Amino acid sequence: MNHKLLLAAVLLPTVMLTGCETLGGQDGGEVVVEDRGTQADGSQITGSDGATTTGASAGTAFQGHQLDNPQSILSSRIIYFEFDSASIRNEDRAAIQAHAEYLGKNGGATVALEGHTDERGSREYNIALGERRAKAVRQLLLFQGAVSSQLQTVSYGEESPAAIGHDEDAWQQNRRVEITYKTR
Amino acid sequence: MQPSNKKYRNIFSLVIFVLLLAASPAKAALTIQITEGVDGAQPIAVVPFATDQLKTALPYDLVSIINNDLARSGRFSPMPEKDLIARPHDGGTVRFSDWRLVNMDYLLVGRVRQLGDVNYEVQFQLFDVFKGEQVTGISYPFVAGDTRRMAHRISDIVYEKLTGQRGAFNTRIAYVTALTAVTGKRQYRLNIADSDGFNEQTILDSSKPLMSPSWSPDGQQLAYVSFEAKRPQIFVQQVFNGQRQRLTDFKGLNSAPVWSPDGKHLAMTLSKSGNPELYLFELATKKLTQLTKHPAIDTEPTWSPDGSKLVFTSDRGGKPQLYIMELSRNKPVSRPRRLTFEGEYNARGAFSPDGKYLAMVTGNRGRFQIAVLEMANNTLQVLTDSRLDESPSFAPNGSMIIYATNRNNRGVLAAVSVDGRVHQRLEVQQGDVREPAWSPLTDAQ
Amino acid sequence: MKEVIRNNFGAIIFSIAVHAMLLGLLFFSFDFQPERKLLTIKPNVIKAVAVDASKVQAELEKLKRADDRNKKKEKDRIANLKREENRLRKKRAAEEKKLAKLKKKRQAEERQRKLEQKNLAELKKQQAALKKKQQAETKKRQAEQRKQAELKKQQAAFKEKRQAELKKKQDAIKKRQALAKKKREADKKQRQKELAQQLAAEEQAREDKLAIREIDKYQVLIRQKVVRNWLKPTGSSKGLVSTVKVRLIPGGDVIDVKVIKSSGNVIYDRSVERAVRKASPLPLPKDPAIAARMYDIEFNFALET
Repeated sequence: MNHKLLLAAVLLPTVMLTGCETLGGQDGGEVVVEDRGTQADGSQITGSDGATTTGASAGTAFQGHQLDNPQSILSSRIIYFEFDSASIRNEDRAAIQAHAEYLGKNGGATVALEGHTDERGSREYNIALGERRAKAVRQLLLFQGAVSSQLQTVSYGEESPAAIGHDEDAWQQNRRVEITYKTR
Repeated sequence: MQPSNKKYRNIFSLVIFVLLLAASPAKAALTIQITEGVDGAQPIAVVPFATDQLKTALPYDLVSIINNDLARSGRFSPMPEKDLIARPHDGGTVRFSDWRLVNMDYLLVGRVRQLGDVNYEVQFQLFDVFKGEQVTGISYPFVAGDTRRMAHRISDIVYEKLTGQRGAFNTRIAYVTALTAVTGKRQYRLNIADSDGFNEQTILDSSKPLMSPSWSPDGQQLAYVSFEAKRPQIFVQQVFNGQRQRLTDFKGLNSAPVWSPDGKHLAMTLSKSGNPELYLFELATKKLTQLTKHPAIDTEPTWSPDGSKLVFTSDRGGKPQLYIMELSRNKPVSRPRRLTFEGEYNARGAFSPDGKYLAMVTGNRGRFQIAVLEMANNTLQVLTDSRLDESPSFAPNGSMIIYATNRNNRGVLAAVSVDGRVHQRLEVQQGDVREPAWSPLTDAQ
Repeated sequence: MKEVIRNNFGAIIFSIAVHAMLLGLLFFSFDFQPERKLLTIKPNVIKAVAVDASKVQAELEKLKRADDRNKKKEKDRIANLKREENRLRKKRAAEEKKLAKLKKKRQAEERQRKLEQKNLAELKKQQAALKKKQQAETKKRQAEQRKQAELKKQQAAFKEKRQAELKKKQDAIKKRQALAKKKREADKKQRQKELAQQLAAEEQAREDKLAIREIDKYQVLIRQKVVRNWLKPTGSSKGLVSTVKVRLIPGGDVIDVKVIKSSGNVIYDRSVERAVRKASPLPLPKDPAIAARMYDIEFNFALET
């Protein structure tokens, strides 16, 4: 029950923000827009007279696939986990929700969910833990719009670390599920 | 009192007195209790074998291999060559009193003869210096290509005669090496080397991870997990001719393959049912038998030497702990019973060859170390002092446990004796070395 | 000869008769036992009919007195008879002499010279014979005396014997007393001896105590040295016990090592044997007498873990 309320509470302002962003682009004032191609990162465009204007936030200016939009929540493809845990953290739920929705809308899209762990503990157990993490993400996606056939899970355990290091910094980066779109 | 009675009484006392006098030497005057000793390696002097008669020199020096073996075991302390006080080659010229003065417990001497182009014969004698007698004297034929193996055999014999345990020097280790090229591309290799790190041979090369090598009981095959298809699959490969066969490719996990002691089954972990469970795979028929049925993770099975029990890792209690299951005719006869209660995290059990001990990875407050559980009285002893230890594997004579650890940011192999007294570092190979598996002893050795 | 006999026939007969009588009397008279021979008191026959006891008694007493007197008389008579005998003998001798004299007288005219000689010879003979007789008498008297003396001796001997027995008894008592005394003395000596022994033992015990302290100290040193030299066998040795008997020579060198109780584990046994050999020489007290007590040692190797 609380789940849904929380979700709603989180999603609502996000939706509004999106809306604002769309509007904001039109309130920008006098803007000399030079087409220098997409400046997806919303960097400043310096005009010939030295005046500087700031382009609106990339949202609507982005021209390309949603999935490639770095501003999109969909760019968030890595879900992180606590040690020895396969529980989805609150801060990751939005992203998963987004992906679920995307998958829901795009039936042909498929993702591979790669589960990983940090190096501590035993390897085979970590393979299983990685799988569990991947499956946790999978569950949530399913729950929120994706279809089973769109989801593949695989676990690499500790075999494929993202960060080579032997401290919490590296470990934290390694405890993850990577969402990889096979087809869009 | 009659005078005669008194006389008899005196004689009687005298007789008793004499008897007592006679009796006392048979009983020692003193008894001293010794309840402690010292721990330490036994000093042994290994004199370079006589090789002056050889036409063709041996490819390796037998005695330096023997010295390395004996020193590596932690049980012996070979005398440095420069300190040898004499260089006898057989018992005839040995002066035990001299060796006693330099406190050597044992002395090994020998000769090598050449019988043909590549055929040799070694003859060696092992002496107990303080007793002043020969412990054993043997001669063996061998070919040049087997020089290292011959040296390991001699080490095994010396080890066995002096400790009562079979030696494990003439054995192999399998392990995985992960290499990272400068481009960042990673390479994985399944390697086999002699127990002293020599003769490394790669039997599989892959750009994707390799895991969990497991020896067959006859030492001829290795089972392992390969991600070459971007998902884990279980393979079985002949060590000496490279022939291999993919055994399983089920949905989800195909992992932790372990050969049964009779060589007919592999226990493994599959998650095709939805979560990781233990299965038995019968090699001849490829028939699968499910052994566990629980939503928790059940993985990393290890067989007891008699094949009647499986210990595995399960987090059905919340966190990973070791559980034991009894089998009869390859079917579980009871519900799994929890084995480990100390520590927050216990995984990756490995039975000793005699079934008396169980090695494992134990985790406490973020530190992961190798521990050993004595099955008979349920006592747990932590053997290592580092933080990132994993994959314990027993030597086939049960004397040492080899494991993977981290040193200077590199994955390396190390070994520790079952009682924790002796620690060894193995030769650092290139790359990150992990997942060691010690080959079994075979009679052929 | 025949003439002589015919002429003196009466004298000869008389002489023979007297001799016979004398001999007969002698026979009777030598029997002087208290046993009375009624023959000798024949003459006292009491013819009275009525008599009273006292009188009889008186008579008996009288008779007894008479008897005694008679005895005495007899004794005297015997003595007399003897004397008589002697006299008679003498007489006979005299008679013979006479006869011879007569003979001689008759032959005197024929052989006066021979008679004289014969007389002389005869005298001599007679004298010799007389001497002999006297000697015989003396002998007899002596024999009598001897016999008396014998009697006396016997009595004396009997007395002596009794006295001797008495003495013996007394001696025996004395001996026993003497023995008792000896025993007391011996006991006293024994006690003194024991006391001395006790003192010696206490002294010994004191020395022993010192020795024991020394031994204890060196026991510790020996134990430490053996411990230092005992490389424990690998693996668990719990419950293994091995006993080794060691013989030392002065100076502490180990000359004999024998496992007298095996632990059942060859490696364990060998390790303990090696330990004592390596620990040689073992530290021993400087005093050789004390050190000698430590030449035989049993080591009991029993690891606690």
